Amino acid sequence: MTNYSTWSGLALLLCLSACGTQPLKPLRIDLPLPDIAAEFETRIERLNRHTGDQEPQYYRWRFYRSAKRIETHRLADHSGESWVQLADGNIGYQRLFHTQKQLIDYLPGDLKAIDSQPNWLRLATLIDTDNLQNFVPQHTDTLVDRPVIYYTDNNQDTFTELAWLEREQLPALLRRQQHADIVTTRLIAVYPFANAPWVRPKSDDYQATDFADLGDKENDAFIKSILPRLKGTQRHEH
Amino acid sequence: MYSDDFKLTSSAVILAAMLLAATDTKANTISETPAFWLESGAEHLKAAEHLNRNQRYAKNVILFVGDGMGISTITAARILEGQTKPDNRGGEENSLSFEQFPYLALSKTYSVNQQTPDSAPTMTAIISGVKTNDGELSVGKEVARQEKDAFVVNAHKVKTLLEQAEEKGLSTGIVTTARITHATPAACYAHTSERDWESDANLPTDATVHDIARQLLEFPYGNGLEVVMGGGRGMFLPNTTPDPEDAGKFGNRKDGLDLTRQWLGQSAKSAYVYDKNGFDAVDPKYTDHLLGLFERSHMEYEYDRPGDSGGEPSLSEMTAKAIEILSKNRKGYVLMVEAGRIDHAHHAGNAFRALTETVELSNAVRKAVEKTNSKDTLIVVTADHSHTFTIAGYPQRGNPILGLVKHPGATDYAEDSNGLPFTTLGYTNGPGYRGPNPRPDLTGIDTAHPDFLQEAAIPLHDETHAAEDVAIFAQGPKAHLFHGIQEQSYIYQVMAKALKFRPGQ
Repeated sequence: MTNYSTWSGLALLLCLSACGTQPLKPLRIDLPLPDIAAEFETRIERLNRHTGDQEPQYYRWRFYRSAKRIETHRLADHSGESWVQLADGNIGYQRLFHTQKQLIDYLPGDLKAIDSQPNWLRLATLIDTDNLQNFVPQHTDTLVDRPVIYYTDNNQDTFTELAWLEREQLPALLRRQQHADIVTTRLIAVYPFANAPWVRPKSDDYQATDFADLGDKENDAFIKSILPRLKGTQRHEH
Repeated sequence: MYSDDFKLTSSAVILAAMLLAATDTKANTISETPAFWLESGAEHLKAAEHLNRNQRYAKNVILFVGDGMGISTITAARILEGQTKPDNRGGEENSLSFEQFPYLALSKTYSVNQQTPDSAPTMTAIISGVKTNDGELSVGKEVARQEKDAFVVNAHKVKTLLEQAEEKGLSTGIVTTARITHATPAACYAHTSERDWESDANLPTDATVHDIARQLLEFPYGNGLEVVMGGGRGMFLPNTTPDPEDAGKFGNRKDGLDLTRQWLGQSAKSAYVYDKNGFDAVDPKYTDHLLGLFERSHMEYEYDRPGDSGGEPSLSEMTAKAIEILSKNRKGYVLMVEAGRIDHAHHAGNAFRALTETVELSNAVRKAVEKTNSKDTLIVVTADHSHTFTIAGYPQRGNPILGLVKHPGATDYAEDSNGLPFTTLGYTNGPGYRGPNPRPDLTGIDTAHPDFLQEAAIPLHDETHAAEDVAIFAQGPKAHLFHGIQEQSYIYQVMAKALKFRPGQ
């Protein structure tokens, strides 16, 4: 396991190695964001408090971004999430269960009532866009055949490493370490939305259940099966 | 919903002002001396001694149902509203409009097969006088849940108060902030083995029983329902018809039926509206049948209503308009009004919205009292079931009801065994659970924020209903028959008696 001080040292080395070259740009989001389709792999390493071992978990997921809609598709269990910008400025959110052809619909009022209001830019870029100034540029490199700029954010008890694709406005690598827990999301492939080899799953004809009605469906077999997966709605799971 | 999601010091301006006002303990400014209590007690006793039982029969019955409005919800809402009043003595002394009604009883809410019930059997009991199984609407217990055969369902359907009223030439209305096809309103007009069969898209393909929305249109009694207002537009529109308010969204129906058009074609002087402008344009003088569907699904919470893009009326406004239309019938009317989202807010663990919904219900009752005569109109206010909502600790008088507990005279917050402050309001279970780590430190957290989730002891995705009795408040003809602790089905008996209807027929 790489510990916190090692990461700090690495960051310093990277910074020193970058000296002497032209200054790197601070991280910024360039709007409008391009429409893209991407595939990521997320690796989660959490310390088992009992055994002291790391138990890494991996999952692959796809990410579809267009001007008014963001959607994820988790390949392992064929589920996903979608966020849509509504005409009145609110954001609609759905949990998608493709195998069962069912979805859970969260209306804007429902999201407010559970203290879960999505941040569109954060969802669209996968990074904490409210604190861009915390990302310190380190060096440039190439990942997935694309130029990236590395940034680090050493904020309180979390260390974040980001390899940023400027053209796509998306991370090629995003690694967050908090204590002994590390979550790493790595880009596998990215395409312009219209040229992607995968199709965003259609959910128009899925059976919809309002989030507000879940409390009255405690005996519904499908609802019971998905409740453990219905967690936060303002950030991606990775 | 997680420990790191608490809102920090960004409270809504209105509530902040309200709570600031409340922190000045008014109980001390108006002297609550022994003489004060004896005098005020004597006044109330005198009023009780002069209560005259209204033995007349009722021309009109208005039933208000606060979905999930347990007694702790009423108490907390009473205090919340009281703390907004300029001359309050802390807020605790306040009374919601219906708490000033002269007659009160308690209602046992269990259903045929549930100790803690859901809204379907409880509303069936209230509106038909018959208790049934969970999830079933206005059918006897002989019908199995999700029975698809219309013959079986119809053989065991139980008549509702609204159906009886229509048969006798009275007008009828249903108003709710939930979908109009949701369990509580649906029990007034539909008979089905499954509360979730709200449109044909939810029905099994081989079911012969009709979906709930269609049953509303096919209501076979009298000249049909006169007033239907609430949410649930999607259940009435085909899945090829764009929603008039939500761009990119369509109706829910697969059978191609546009039930809003059907409504307009069924009777003269009928109207269908879907937003506040349309609602405001309805002239009760020239409208005999009004269908108002103001959201695709449930209507907005009252707190969020001003931000709705299409605009929608409040529960009070819908109640007033309903009474204006229904009261044109000289024979009288039966109106059911539901504050349907108290329940939803509690399920979400959000006390602020549950309480502000309850205050709006109180406003709607006040409006009904203003627009009717207690000599000929029985008004009943009750709940279908309770929630696991609690008011606890030993907060001082005037302590903000949504705030942290502060003991009388204390300058610091009361602390739990680990030295951490805690809120007055909480839930036994639900999404407000912050474990498995020790409780969070709420110092500096704005627990009165509209989006704050009160803590819960047991982690559940949704907070649950609770089984304790709920209250029944009444005024008007036969209201005195509400006394003691009664089965929930007794509510129907009193309403039917007041209207001179033979129960069950």
